[in-house]
Amino acid sequence: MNPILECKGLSKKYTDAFYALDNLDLTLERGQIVGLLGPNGSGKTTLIKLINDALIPTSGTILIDGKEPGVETKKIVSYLPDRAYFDPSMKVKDILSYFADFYDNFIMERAAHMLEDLDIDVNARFKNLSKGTQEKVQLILVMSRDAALYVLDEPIGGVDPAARDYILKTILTNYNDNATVLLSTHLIGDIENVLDRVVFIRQGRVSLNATVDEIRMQQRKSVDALFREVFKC
Amino acid sequence: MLGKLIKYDLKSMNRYLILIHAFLLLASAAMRAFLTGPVLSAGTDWRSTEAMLSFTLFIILYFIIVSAASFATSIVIVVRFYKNLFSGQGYLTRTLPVTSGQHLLAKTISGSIWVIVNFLVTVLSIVIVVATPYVVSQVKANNSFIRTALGITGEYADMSWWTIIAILMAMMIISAVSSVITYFASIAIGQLVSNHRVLGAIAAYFVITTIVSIASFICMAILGLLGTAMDPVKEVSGMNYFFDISSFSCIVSIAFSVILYIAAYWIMKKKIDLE
Repeated sequence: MNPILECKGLSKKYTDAFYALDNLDLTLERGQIVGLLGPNGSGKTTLIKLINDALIPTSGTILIDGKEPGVETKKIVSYLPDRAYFDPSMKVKDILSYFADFYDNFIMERAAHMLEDLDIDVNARFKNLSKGTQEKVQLILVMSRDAALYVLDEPIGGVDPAARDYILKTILTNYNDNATVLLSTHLIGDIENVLDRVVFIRQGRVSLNATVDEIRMQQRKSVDALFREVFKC
Repeated sequence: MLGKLIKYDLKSMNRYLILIHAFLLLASAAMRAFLTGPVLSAGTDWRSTEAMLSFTLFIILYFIIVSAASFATSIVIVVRFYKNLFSGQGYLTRTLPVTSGQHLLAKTISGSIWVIVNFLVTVLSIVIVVATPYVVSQVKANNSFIRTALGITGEYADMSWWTIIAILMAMMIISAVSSVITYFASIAIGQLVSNHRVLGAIAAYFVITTIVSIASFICMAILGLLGTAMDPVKEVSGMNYFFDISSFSCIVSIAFSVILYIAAYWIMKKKIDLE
């Protein structure tokens, strides 16, 4: 099968002086959990937005499943932004219907089951939920789609450690073997054990692309330690 | 997909607009019951200060309520478009497997529906307020006088009220769609001004409406449709003039709407950077 993501010479410039992505090359195969790691401002969110057709590249190409970002790629990419993005006045059950309406690969039972597990009232309005619960709801909805690529931007940033564990467990148990999860975060220690591969991104370019095993064996350190070394201030 | 988008747009706008229009109708009913019912009846002495005062009061109050409902309708439509596509919610909406063309069309349809509903409810409320039994009987009795005064004479003398209403409805629908497209095009143009998207949209709106007015004025002058150009010797009935002006303004509306719609579509397709 073709790689799920192919970026070639991908650039995004915001002003003449500032390139958020600078000639980035990256290929991701299917069936892996990949950590997209980098300090703030390194270009992680820009890359994520480009994958999701929320930005237009300045130059270069980006292909998902061999296609340019558009309606067909949106069907197979499930995206969790790093911010609240639902209409706050919607009830949780309305959001469920919304997803079911627009996404053929949304699995209602999976979502309903997870919400029940966490004691989340489907009749509650989104704006009335606590921040941690909102993040869990957003993640549950995204992971309940049977997608080929899951793009999660800082999925565990604002939640307590117990919730983080639940979220990571959810991610692991809910994706099928052919799907790829691209997880952007800077809480590396917490997710290291979940990742198959890491991509370090720095100043708009890929500075490292290796499996976690390679890093541990060749560098003889944890990914977290390597990150701190590579991105030392 | 288009139907689903329209469904959710309407669901979101209905929350406010149904309430506002229900209030408008309630206010009309109250107006009728307490003010115009008693005042616009056979026994009223129009020269009494009481009658004059209530009449003036009702016009002002009523005008405020009707304007507020109409204004609120425009605001809700514009806010829905902006919030749903260009703010945080855009992360959800624009990652749906739907083209930007479908988004624009869905919102144009759902927005136009509410502008039209607002118009119809306004007309209904005016009828509730004004059409007391006395007024209705007076209108029926003076039907031909009214028609002459309005200029429905000559070749149009036999045009039924229903035909006239149908033509007005068609014009209203064109105007509704046109105003919605103008709002959306303004917002889309505003998106091109990176740090001042809302101001850009407002500025774009004023620029667009000014250009349309000036262009219309120039065309009307050329075509001899300006009032000053009316030849007092030639017998031009009021209705004739009305039809000339209306067909002209419909053509102008449609032409500009097409241009603005294409502009909005192109901007949304090519220049989408989400904040």
